[in-house]
Amino acid sequence: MNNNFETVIGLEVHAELNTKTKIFCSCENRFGAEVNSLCCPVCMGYPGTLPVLNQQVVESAVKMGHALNCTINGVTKQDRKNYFYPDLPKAYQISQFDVPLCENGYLDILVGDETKRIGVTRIHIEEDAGKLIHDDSFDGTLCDYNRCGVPLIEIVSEPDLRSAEEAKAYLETITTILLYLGISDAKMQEGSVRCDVNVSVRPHGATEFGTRCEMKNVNSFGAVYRAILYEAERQMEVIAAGGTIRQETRRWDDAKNKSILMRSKEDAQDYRYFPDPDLLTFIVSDEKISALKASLPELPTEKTLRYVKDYNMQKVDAQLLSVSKARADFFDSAVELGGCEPKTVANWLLGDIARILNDRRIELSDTALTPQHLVEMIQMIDKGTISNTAAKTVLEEMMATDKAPQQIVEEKGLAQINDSSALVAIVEKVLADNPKAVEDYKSGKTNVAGFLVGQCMKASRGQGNPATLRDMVLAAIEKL
Amino acid sequence: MEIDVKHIAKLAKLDIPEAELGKMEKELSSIVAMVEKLPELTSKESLLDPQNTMQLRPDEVKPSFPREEMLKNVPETAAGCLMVPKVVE
Repeated sequence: MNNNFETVIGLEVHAELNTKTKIFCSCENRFGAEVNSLCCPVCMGYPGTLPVLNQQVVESAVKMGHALNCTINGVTKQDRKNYFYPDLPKAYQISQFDVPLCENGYLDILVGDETKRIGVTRIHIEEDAGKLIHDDSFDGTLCDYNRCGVPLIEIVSEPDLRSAEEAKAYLETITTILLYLGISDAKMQEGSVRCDVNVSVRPHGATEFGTRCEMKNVNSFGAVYRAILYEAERQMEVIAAGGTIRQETRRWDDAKNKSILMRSKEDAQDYRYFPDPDLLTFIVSDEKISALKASLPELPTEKTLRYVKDYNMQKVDAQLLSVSKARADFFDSAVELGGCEPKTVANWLLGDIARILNDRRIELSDTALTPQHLVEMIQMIDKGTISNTAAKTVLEEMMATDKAPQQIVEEKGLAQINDSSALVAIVEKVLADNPKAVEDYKSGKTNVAGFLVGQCMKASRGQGNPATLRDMVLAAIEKL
Repeated sequence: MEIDVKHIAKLAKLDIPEAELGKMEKELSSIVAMVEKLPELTSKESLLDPQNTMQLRPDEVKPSFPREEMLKNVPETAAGCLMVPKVVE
């Protein structure tokens, strides 16, 4: 990477909204249905049909506008964007041109230890296009129009991003917010979030932007990162070799890890936007705009910063908690119940619980675990009723059944033995079975004490109190 | 007013013989000149019409059309899809 240059990045993010119906007709909005089974004359663009705008699309877009601190244009309209391609049966896409529903916002993102503010130029509503199937066993291209009319919001950022890391953090924050608001499934792998990346480079300290290239088909967080690194490097090489960058659209091929020229500025699309005569001006009332603002949940970046400030958490842990709304909500409920350290709750959620969920490829909501039970279990550890080792068994059981930890401990006989008289026999047996370790300890290798305590814990089936056992082991060796 | 007839023809997917370009340009120029006499729009707001707004639709699912019905008007179909001449991305 050439250090004399700075990379300048802007992202256009398209997110499909998870409304029940499409944007302009009452066909169901669902992914994965049989081809052309969710279509009507409106989605197919038959002559004489009239689009009718879905109220929920407007509300979802306004919510996103609030989340990204935008001005909401309560009086707005829709425009036709003309292009000729078989994925679009009308030969125009209904979008918004000069008066987007939301504009002039920003998003604060966390990159390493820094908080960076990224400008959001606009958010507008539009319809998605259909899906083309290219298959050599057919003489032509097949068109599936189920996706025609699926509602989209397009979120356009200012060219404020300066590295692939920042772009990735921005995109991750956007998708997390979509999930927090519950307005999109936000799955890049299913194409419900798609991204066009604009990249230019300029010498450090330059005040004007370099010529930018747009990359299409960037379909995962990793691809965004790789595409930016590749494109910045390509542009720097062109400039270093004395060339100039031409404005062009390039297609990102993630498998080959390179971008390919699609079209240069000379044959740039001429979209001939004009107001859609089938759709009138529409109004979102001030009351509605305020009500939608009031309905927003606490957003991920705010949550992260609150956890760091209020609970003295590491930023990386706070971020891991807030990146999943389900996990953050669970954490907040547990902390609200009180009676244990928030950091301990976080450690369980990010440690053993995350590991179990990950191993089984399930979500927190797929388990029987409740914040109440987790807090009770932590309290039992704090009081010395159960050991950390036994707690892991309790946790597994709490995730599988809705039994309270108290009941599990009783049923499985997991209560910790703090009474040293009950542990004497165990300690004696462990020392007798491990004469070599005892010798080693006596000759100064004191770290074998950990091994001996471990053996005692094992022999007590996790029920011994490790601190008590340690004291007992050391005392017993002294007496030998 | 200069009219690029070739560019417009390309966007409209029309084949216009070279010999007719001059005539077309003249005709289109006079049409544009006529349209330009319309009163000028003063701002972008004037394209909005807040006195004449539309009602939005509640988000309620209604059955889609049967696929066979939808595809009746389609010249060529295959595997439940419309088939068009091969296009490359």
